[in-house]
Parts: sequence; C-alpha cells; structure tokens
Amino acid sequence: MQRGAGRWRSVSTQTPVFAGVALVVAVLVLLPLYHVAASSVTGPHGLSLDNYANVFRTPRFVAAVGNSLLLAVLSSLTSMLLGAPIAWLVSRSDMPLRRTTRVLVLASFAVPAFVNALSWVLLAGPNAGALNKAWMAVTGSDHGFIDIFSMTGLLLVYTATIYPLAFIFMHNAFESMDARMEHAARLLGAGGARVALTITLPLARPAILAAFIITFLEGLTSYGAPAVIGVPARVYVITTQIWSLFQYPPQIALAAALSLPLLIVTTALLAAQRLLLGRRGFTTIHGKAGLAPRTELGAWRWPAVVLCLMIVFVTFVLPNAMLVFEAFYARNYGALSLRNVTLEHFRYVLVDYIDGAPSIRNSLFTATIAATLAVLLAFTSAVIVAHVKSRVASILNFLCLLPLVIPSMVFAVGLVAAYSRGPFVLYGTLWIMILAFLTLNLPYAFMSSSSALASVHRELESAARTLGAPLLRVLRDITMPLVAGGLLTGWIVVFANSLRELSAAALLFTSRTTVIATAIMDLDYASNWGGVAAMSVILLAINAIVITGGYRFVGRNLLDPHRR
Amino acid sequence: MKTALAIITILCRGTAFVAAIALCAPLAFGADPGAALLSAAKKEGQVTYYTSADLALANKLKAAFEKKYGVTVNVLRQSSAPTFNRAVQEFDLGVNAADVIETSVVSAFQDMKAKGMLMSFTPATANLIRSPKLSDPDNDWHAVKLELTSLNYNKDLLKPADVPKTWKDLLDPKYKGKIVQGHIKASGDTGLIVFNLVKMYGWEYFEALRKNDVLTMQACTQNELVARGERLIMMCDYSQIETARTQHQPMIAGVLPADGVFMLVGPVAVLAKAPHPNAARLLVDFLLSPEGQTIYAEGGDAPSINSPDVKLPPGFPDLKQHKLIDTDMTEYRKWLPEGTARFVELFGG
Repeated sequence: MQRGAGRWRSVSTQTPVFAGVALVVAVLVLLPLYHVAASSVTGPHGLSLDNYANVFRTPRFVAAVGNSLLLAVLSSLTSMLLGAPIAWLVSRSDMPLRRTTRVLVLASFAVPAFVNALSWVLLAGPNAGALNKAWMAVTGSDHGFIDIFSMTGLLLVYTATIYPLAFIFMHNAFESMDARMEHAARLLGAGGARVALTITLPLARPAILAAFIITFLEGLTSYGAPAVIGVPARVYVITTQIWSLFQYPPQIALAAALSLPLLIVTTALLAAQRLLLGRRGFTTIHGKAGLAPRTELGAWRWPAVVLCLMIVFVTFVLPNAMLVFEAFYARNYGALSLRNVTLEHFRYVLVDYIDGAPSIRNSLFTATIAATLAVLLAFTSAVIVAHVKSRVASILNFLCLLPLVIPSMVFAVGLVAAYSRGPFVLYGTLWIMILAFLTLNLPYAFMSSSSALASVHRELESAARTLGAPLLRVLRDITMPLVAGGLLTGWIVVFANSLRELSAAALLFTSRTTVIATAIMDLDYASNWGGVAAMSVILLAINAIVITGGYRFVGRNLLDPHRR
Repeated sequence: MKTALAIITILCRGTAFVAAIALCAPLAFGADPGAALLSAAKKEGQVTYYTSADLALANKLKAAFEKKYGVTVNVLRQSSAPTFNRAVQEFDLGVNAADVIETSVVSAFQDMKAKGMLMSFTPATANLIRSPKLSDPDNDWHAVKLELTSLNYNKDLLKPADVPKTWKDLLDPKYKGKIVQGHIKASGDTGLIVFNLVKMYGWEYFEALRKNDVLTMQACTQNELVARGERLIMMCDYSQIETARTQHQPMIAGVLPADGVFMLVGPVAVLAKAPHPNAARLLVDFLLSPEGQTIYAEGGDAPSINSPDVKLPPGFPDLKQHKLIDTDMTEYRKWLPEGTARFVELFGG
C-alpha cells in the first residue's frame, strides 16, 4: 500500500472497514448483473443458449429491438437539436431571461416521462385531445393535426423528456470551456458567429459526442413513454417487451436474454465515451464561465429568447398545465365552467382507490431509506477513494460509477432473479425496491460526495490527523460538517429519482408494495384520467417540495451543481 | 332366499335414503346460512374481496353484505388480469391476503384450481345455477354473473341511424377511426370477443378492423375515451353502461349485437388459504343469493342463477330475444396462446 503526503498513515487499522464497504457495493451492483447473465443462459435442462435463439427467432422481439434503436437515434438527434442551441444561448450569449430559461429546462428534467406522456394523451389524443379540439374549432377541420398514438407522438414525448439531458451536458461544457481562445479570436476581429462556429463548436466536440451517447442510451432504455402510448400506437420497444415477459406466466430467463444485449450496448458506448473523453466523461466539469465574454446577439436577442421559451412552453409548461387542470376538474364533457373545479379526483385517489394512500406511504419510505443508505455508502466510498491509494479504492471507484451503464429495467430483472429464491428472499418486500433505487442512484450520490470532498481543505483533516484523531472520528467531526451541503444534494437527487422511477418499480412491485409510479400506471390502465392526473400532481408536488426545500437549505440550485 | 335378498335391498336403499337426507340437510336449510357459519364469520369480523367487478357494483355488494351480516368487506378492485396476477403472486409468496376472488376469466380459475389455490365450497343456491357448465365439477368455483359483450357508444355524438347493429357492421368504412377495443393480454372481455369473432368470421375480421383504424388500449373499459369523443364505439360489455352512469357519463349507451352476444362467465371462489374462511364462504353464499344476484343485475350483468326472486331492473334486455353464445372455456384456453400471438401480430403489444 502506497502512502504519500496527505495519505492516511494509520490506514492498515481501517482496512477491514474499507474492505467491508467495497464488498457491500460489489454485492449490491454485481450480484443482480450476474443473475441476469446466468438466467439468460439457463434453460430447463441447464446451460443453454435457447433463450437467445428464442429472442432472435421471435419477430416481435426483433421488431422491438428495431423500434428501440430507431427511437433512440431519432430522439437523440432531436434532443441535441433542441438542447445544444439553448445551452449555448444560456451559457455563452447575452440573451435575456437566461436564468428563467435554464430553470425551466432543468425543471422539465424532474418530470418523469410517463407523466409527460399521460399529459400528452390529454393534449393530443387524435380526436378529443385539447389541442386537437381547439384546432378543429379554429380551422373548422373535421380532424386534429396531431396524433399522440403514433411513432411521431412517441418521438415527441421522448424528445420532451430527453432534451434537458442534452442541455445539461452542453451547458456544462460551454460554461467550463477555456475562454481565452475565443477571446483571442475576437481580438483578432472575428465576429460572434465566426467565433461560435470556428472556436466554440470544435472545442465542444467531445461534449457533443458525450451528449449524443447519453441521450441515445436514455432513449434506448426508456420505458415511461412506450408504457403509456406504445400499445395504442402499436409501437413496442425492448423495455415494454421485457415488462410483458414479467406478466403471468413470467418468463424471466427470456427477459434476461432480452436484457443482456441492452446492457452490453450501454456498457460499450459509455466505455467508448470514457476512452474518448478521459475521466471527464462521468463528472460534471467545474466552470470558469465568468471569464468568458458573452457573444452579443444584437438584433437576435429577442427572437432567440422567444424560441427558447416556446420550446420550454411546449415541452414543459403546456403538458403540466394540462395535468393540473385535469386533476382539479370534474368529469364533465360540456362547456368549461368554474363550477366544475373539484377535489373529487384527490379524494378518489386518497380514499376510495385502494392502492392510493399505501402507494404514497411506500414511495416516501423507499425513497427516504434509499437516499439515506445511498448517501452513507457513497460518502464512505468517496472518502476511501479520495484518501486511500490502493487497488481496492480504484475498484470501489469503478463499482460506484458502474450503475450509470445499467438500464433500470435490466437491473430489476437481475434483482428478481437474485432475490426471489434463498438465501435472501426479498421479492415481494419494499426492500427489493430500496435495493434498486439505492444501487441505480449510487453514482449520483457518489459524484456529489466526491466533489464535496474535493472542496474540503485537506489541511483541516491533516491537522486533526496530526493531533492523533482516528480516521472515522476525523470524518465525523471535521469532514462531515464541511461536506454536509454536498451530501444533502446527493440525498435529494437520489430521493427525487427514486420517487419518479418507474421502469424498475414496474417489475418489482407486488400487491403490498405499490409505489406512486406504479399506482399511476394502474389508474391509467383503467383509463381513470382524473385519478392519473391527481396522483401525478401529488408525485410532482412531493418532488417539488423536497427539491426547493433542499435548495433553500443548501443555498444553490441542486439540479445545477456547478453553480456555486 | 329371494325374500331375504329383497329385504336386504330395501334395507340398504332405506339406509341410503336416510343417509342422503342427512347429507342434504345443511343444503336444504342453506338459503339461510347455517348459524354456525354466521357466528364463525362474525368472529372473523372481516373478509377481503378481490374483484374485477366495477367499483360501484363492488361497493353496492359490500354495503348490502355489511348491512345484512355486520361483517366488514375489504374490496380490492382491479381488472381481471391484475386481480389474478396479484392472487397468484401472493399465493406463491405465501402472503395470502385475499379471501374471495372474482374475475371475468374462467381459465384463470382453472389455473388457480390446478395450483391448489381454491377451496371447494357449495353455496346454498348452487342447484339454481343456470347450467352445469357454470360451476366447477369439484365446486372450487361458481359463476356469479354472466357479462354480456356489447357495443357501447356515445349517443350524443353518434347519430341514431349510425348506431351499429352487429359486430360485422364495424367493418363499414364509416366507422374508420371511431372504434376502440381492449388488448387480449389484459382484458377478459376482449379475449372472449376475439375468440368468438374469429370463430364466426375468421382472422379476416380483425385484419379488416385494423384497416378501419381501431384503437387498441389495455383494458376494453374505455368509457372515458368514448365520453370525450376520442372514439365513439367500444367493443366491451353491457355492464359498462351502468358504470358510466355512476361516473357522470350518461351519454354512454349500448347495443347487444344481433350476430351474437358472447356470455363472459365471471366466476367467484374462496381461496384455499383464506385468512377468514368462514366470512369468505358467507360472502360467496351472499353473492349467489337472489339478493346478491339482483345487485349484479342492477349493475348490468346477467344473473347466473335462475330464480323468480332475482329482480331484473327495468330496461334490462330480455335475453330470450338475443342470440346468446356460450363459449367452451376448455377450447378457449387451448386457443388463447395462439390467439394472443396472432392478435399481437396485428395490434402489437
């Protein structure tokens, strides 16, 4: 074990702790993955490749793979077309209302895809959607102009929910870019457009590549939108087929065989990205944005902001306004009237609907426990990775980030295979749900712990260490208080992600472990749209309270960690 | 010798007769469930009822039962497939929360019986059930209602002249983009409709329906879509009209198609590992009593027992006037995997 300046001298006494943490993380992350691989090659008579043969012989599975790839490519393109220009305008230009635009784009990231899809059904149902009805009333046409139950409809929802991801990547890249080159070009007389095209764009190339990969993977593994509008649109994708294989009678081995290729693709692409970008690929880049002079848009300032706000309006404001309206409006099919404003749907989901109240309790419980455990585990791991130079530490670093490449649904397949038989039967309990939320979100807790640790002055810890305090005590008394803000950020991200997680929950929930997301899908299934809207509003409200409450406490935008 | 034999025979017959009377005694008085059952049920105090019956109907049954016996009913209402999935899952996990289960899918009850999930129980009115096909031979389940497949439509938006009379009518191009159906994987009604229509008209029927731009959702119960005018006609069941009425959707009306009304048998059963077995038996007994059956009829389902005490609500269709079609559930069950594959080819999912 190598020990240099600033490393822990008494490390050997702490080794069991480190090994223990590493082991816990390894079991959490690797055991389910092992089970996906193992069940995919297990037939009724032992080892076999029949499951794979089955998958590739069945036309609807092959078609699902094709649809998934198509949607992923298209939505990645559309997301970049929307996300990258907005990111540039917000971070590098003198467009007005930059902060408002940024907050609205980031807020739309907090709305889960299945909720967005449900809102779009209300807006753009081909005959009775609010937009289509308005269109028919205005133009006198006998049919609407947009059909949500179609490939285009799916693409719309994919884009609306994925483009904020492209925005975040590009925004971080633009903000952290070295401004000196742009500055030099400008001094030499280059105009704004020329600087943007010849300096900024090439500098942003690695980020563009990264954003393409991330948005592509997000599209490939998306479940929310196809779960809601895939059946009526007749477009089925890999994730909905995996879900369908979990219905009675469950065919878990086949689901595993369909899952593993997905895992291989995500791993390969993220590995490629990491090779191309080095370590920066996974972490947010801290900026020097203040140094960069903003490009002056001149006459284009207002058209630019109108365009940005229109995009945000269509993808975020409109669908959520529709949702809120539906949640508070009684079933009535005549003319609009204030008298129809009602709390009936909330009463229904909270009192009459048998899964309503329990699902809210279960969601709060699982999200709280998952977030707390994730932060504890991630913080301990981050300390080890930061302070200990050993093979264990670098493996731990890798393991904590590994869940980034695991599609939620694939992980859930593994969890079911791993924990529905002895020695630990967790299937059917809330704990399997907690394991899923905790592990899938570990990277975010880990990254926020790591960056919080990096900002702590090593001297303080060194001083305490010199005075003879043992590592765990130093962590408790010195490091923890200093990094509390960062840990809270991690906690809130894990909590919010757990609450909106559907694709893992859809496979893991049972009668007694319904969560809000699965309850919403159940209400949708029965076409109880008032109930769907009310429950979605409850979900969004809980997340909004936790995120803004956290923001007050931490004093900065949580979804935007580089703004300090 | 001969006389001796005759005497022995008479004696034996007599014994058999007495024995039969003794055996039948509990049944004979069954119309009023045994005092023993009632007090045991009251001691248990509650019963958990998993049902795919419409929520308003389930709540009416609950209220009537609670009023009559003072035993609380916990209703868990979901569609047929999720209700069944949940019961199987819980049985496999050893959770056993449910006492009574009711869905609209006989094959689900055959599956549960095969898994040993059901408890044999003969309700008092078992002998009044319309046909022996409506009960399990071992009394593991009994039909509690007959759902009638129908074409429900929005009478505010569909002109009277345009109301379809038969399933076949739906292939008329004037209904293009106006029809909604459920998915065979999720809806018992849809499974039955597809099975029978394929038998009558072949898969060409559904190929044509697809060309007519039918919208396929998970469940066939799409009152909300029809009320809003997203689609105008839904291929589902007659009881949905009553459901719609209770949900402030008075514009939903229905026709029983002239080319065939498929009867969807809705069985009820006591679960073998019911935590409240006596209250469960009491509930099943009640559901199949004339009083319970009257409530089903008010909800739009045809009663499964033949009894003058069942009061049909005014306007309930006279079943003698319609072409009722029984479905052989064994044949249906055999057909289902292939039928599902074919349906998925056409409509995805």
